Amino acid sequence: MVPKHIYSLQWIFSLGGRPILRFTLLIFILFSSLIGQEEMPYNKLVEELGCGNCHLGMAISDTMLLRTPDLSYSGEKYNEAFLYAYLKEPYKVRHNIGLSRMPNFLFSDDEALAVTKYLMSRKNLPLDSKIQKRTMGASTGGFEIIHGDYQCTSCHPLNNVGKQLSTDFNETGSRLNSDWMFDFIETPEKYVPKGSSMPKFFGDDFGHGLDEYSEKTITTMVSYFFEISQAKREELDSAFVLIEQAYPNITAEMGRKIFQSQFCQACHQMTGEEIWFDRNAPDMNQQKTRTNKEWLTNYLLKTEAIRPFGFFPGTGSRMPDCRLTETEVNTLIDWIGTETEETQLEPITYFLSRKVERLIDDFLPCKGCHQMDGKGGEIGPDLSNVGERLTNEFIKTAVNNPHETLPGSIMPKTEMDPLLIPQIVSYLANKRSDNKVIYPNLVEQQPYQVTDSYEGNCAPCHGLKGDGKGFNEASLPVKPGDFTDTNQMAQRADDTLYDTIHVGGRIMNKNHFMPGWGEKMSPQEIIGFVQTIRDFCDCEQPGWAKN
Amino acid sequence: MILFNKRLIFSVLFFNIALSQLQDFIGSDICESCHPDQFELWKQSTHGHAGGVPFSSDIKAPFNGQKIDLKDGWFLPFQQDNRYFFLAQENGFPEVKYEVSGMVGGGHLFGGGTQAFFSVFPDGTMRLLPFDYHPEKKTWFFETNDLSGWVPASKSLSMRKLTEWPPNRIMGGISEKQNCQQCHGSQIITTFDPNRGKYKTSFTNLSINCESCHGPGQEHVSLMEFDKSIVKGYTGIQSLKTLSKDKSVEVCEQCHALKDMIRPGYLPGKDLDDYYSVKFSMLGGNPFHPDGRVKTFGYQQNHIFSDCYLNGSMTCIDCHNPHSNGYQDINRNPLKGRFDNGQCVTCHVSKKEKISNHSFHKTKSEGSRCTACHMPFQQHKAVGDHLRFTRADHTISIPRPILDQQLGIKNACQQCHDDMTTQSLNDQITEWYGELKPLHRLESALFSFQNGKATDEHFLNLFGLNNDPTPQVFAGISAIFMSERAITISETAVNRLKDLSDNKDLDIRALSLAFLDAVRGDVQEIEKFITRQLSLSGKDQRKIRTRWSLALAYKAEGVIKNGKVEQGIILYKKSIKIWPNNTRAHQGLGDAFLTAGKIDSSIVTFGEMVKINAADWQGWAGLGKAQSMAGQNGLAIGAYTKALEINNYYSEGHLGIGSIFFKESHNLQAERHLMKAIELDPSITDAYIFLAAIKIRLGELKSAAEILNRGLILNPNHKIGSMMLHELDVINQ
Repeated sequence: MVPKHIYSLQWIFSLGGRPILRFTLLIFILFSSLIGQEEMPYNKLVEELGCGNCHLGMAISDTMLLRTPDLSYSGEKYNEAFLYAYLKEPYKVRHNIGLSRMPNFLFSDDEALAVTKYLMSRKNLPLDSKIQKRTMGASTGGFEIIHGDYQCTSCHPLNNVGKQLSTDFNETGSRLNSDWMFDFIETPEKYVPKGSSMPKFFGDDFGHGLDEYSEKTITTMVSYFFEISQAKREELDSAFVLIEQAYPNITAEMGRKIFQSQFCQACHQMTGEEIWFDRNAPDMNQQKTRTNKEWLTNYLLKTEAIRPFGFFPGTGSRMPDCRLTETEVNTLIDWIGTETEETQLEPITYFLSRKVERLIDDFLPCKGCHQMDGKGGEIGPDLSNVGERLTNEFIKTAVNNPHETLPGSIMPKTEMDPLLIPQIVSYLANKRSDNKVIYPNLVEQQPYQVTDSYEGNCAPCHGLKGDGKGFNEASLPVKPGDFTDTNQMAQRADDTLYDTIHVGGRIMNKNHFMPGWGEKMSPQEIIGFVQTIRDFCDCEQPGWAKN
Repeated sequence: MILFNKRLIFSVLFFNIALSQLQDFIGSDICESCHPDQFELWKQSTHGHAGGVPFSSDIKAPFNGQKIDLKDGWFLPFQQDNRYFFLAQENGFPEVKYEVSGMVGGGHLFGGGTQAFFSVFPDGTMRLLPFDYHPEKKTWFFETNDLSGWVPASKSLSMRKLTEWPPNRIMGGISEKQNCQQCHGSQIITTFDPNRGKYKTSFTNLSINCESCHGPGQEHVSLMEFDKSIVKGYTGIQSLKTLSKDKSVEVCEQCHALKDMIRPGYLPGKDLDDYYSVKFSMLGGNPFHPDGRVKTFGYQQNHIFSDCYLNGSMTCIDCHNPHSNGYQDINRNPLKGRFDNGQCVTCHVSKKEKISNHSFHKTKSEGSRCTACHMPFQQHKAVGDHLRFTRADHTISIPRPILDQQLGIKNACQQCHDDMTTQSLNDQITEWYGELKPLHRLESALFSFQNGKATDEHFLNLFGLNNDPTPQVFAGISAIFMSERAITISETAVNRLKDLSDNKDLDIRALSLAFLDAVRGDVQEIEKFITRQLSLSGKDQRKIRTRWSLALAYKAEGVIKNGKVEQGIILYKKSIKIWPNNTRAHQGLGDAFLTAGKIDSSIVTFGEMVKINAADWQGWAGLGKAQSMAGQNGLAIGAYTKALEINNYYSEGHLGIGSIFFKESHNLQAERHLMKAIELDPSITDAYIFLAAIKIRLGELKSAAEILNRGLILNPNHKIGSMMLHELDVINQ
């Protein structure tokens, strides 16, 4: 896995034009990242869960990387019906990986089908090897061979015997493809790391192939696995056929984007596939001061959508359900720690709250990105319950200085009445609601990789093609600006576009949900955006505006 | 008589309701108890010092007892026992004394502020006195009636030229008299009290207080004393921060706009559209140039013509702090002053980085002040050139020296570069900026139309579209509507008007319908259309009706002025049809009938007027006048008597009945009424003439000559008066 650190620090480079600030922040982040990794105490559970593989501010878990299956050849390895069912409802397959586990990404049927199809398209076997097509044979004596002759049950459970130290042989036949299973038994060294307890029983180390006995033995073993899993396999196959019929247009390409969007490569190897992220989840260094303990406890027990379209908006990444037990959650909470200092906020009356609501509804850009009680954009976190979720201090600093509080976040700082800021902070800190946002369907709303500043900051509303059809369009009261509308765009002066990007939509009588980016972006970057708009419209500003 | 009494009861009810609304206003001191910060800012502000009872620290004018001579009179401001007075006399007339009961202004305004004075009159009105003071120039001055504008007091100035001499403009918005509306004070209600037969003028004070902008506070105070859970967040008062762009500007337009009154009784917090139109002033001789800049006299309402308003979100409070009246940027950060570029570059950030790239002037120089070029202070023409009354151009215009010269505007560049010719300034601007941003096509069309260069295409272009800016659309169609070409509009223009009758703007909708009614209302299809449009106007129907009717009355007045009385009568009838309570139209129609010699029709019209409102003393007086002209003197006396029973301070009524008594040779009664008419309105010429005639009839020739002379001072061209004086001279010789 090649981490893409550059992306996570990309926001710093967007501060072009403010070199001192940029340099200071870069140093600050790098140091705090290093310090943070040291400060976060080692925790076995965190290491085995691989939290740091997605979350900023933590070390990547080597343990997790060693334990996860390489998916580069999943098309050769897995029974697709199993894969589908597993993606829908992951469970523990291998019992030798401690607390590590495959989390549940809460895929819908069509999403799971798309990922399945994608995984089934991946057939990059180690060492560019090929798998030989084989015919199943008789399974007679299979159990004796497995249990008696080769004592596989020393690690694998089978027919109520054996130890649970590895995968369960009772379902191997429904889980895996027979040819790959044969290949694995013949040449396990291709698939498991050196030092693994999986022995090589057959063939030699010189590639001379199998003798007739070995061939027959492995065939019997594989056939036996299939025989005992036949009912389960048929059950899975039947269910899968129905799903395929229900979603005939699902393609592997759709699944590929979903696979990338969920940053599966944070834990799994996938040879030849581009990685979208370095990390794609909040900085754990800040977690203690970020979320309230009670909320976080419940969240870890049952995750829910916070940023429905992904940590980096548009990428569609989700916080998966790690199926944590209460004990595990308590362990994590203890490890994260609890903020003890109370931040005093300006008291807010019921009446003042209504006033702030009006301002948020009619004047401020908040709801362009954040949903509140079912209304608003879906770029940033749902703020319906923000007072329960976040600490007062975090809300305060995020409103006052989002760039430093939320490094890497799309959120720009909004200039507003200084007297209003404490009221907004207090309003948010008192915001409670049962309203929930839901993740979008990643088949319908195809996720995309964010590779530049336009895609990261503008495309959520204005679309990757500049046509105003970003994923957030559906959540907005008016259609975002269509930069491909040549007639309209040719009437606007470049400096007007610059001013609008800098200060926000409201000043141009456009929708106030368009925030100003001037506090986040450098003048050069905004000029770049203006040029991007001109590229989209393939037009120039009016003649009178040129000088 | 029963009907009369019923109508009178309604009139009393209206009076009581109007005054009872004042109870909803609590005064700024109550606001202070919960909002001390805002109160402190306000207390020091211009609004906080806008006016009040005369108090030595606020009086800028010298009440020093020094007599100031004018050409044909004098006045003398003096102070006595901490009270302020004016003594004044016009040669040939008795000396008068006015006590100052209110003063407005303190010379606060940067472009030249003034201080004016009000006095309470016997009829219950509070009237503007003619004696104004200009603190910057340290001179008394007068508004003149001969287009000279504001003229400093001097021995060459005749009192005959003073607009407010004798005082006639009242404080508070009423339809029957010239008035200052409700702007120069807080919660001003002037209404006729039928119980006392005179006006009642009420106000909280003459500064601009909290409730002038926020509306009445009583409900707010009451609600805040309840358990908050009861009221579900409703505070009983609207936070101005949460107003939309249009509504925010409307708060300021309550005063900072030339407004046409739709109906009396406005108080802050009410729906301004229901009482005033801020665009209808364009019908009565447009005070604005086509691009919205002030042509004659105006307030800051022309901001609605600006690009910043039309294509941006700019409201008044984006630059002006409404509490302190200081300056701020769009994020409410205080600014150093009125010239601080922060007002502009907080939005126009592209200009901020290096302003000299845009201004072509040194960064710290005056030429790099945004306001220097885009909001130049301009002397309002109606004020003349004697005294400085410059106001920043709130249309936020682009300097166009040649165009400005054509309009008679001193352009922004010239304010510093007075030594350069217009052409050289224009050349410089062209060199720097190349092609300038074009005017809106409606503005260009209106320029051409006003210059008489309008081709048919230009003419059609004056009819805007529904997505065009509303001020420009209204300016365009109002120009055609009031022109003689209105009647000749094409079918395409008719269709444009049909479209515009769906406009979001009430004034445009109403004017479009009035236009169609005026020029095609007799065509069945158009009649059906405009009737349908009205029926679809829902809750806005009254606002549409009143505006529609008012527009037709404007047009009627215009055509009658041009000698087309019959056409005016038709328009007045249409005006009354759409809004039967339009007293202006009734009065106009009654008078038009008299002008056309249709006295019976005039009697019917005034009769209908008093049927609608039996307390309408003007209607009764009109009826009396018409009946008198028809020779029905007995009926006329009855009608005038009713007028005076309602309002015994109605000078025209006393003149009317006095003239009939004169004709009937009831000299004593005639004399009593004519004397009363003169007492109430010393400028009422005819009363002097009739009174002089009575004196002649009684053989009091010396007295007659004296009275006649006064009448002729007022109107030297009065033919009968001149003849009478000539005869008297002959007799005396």
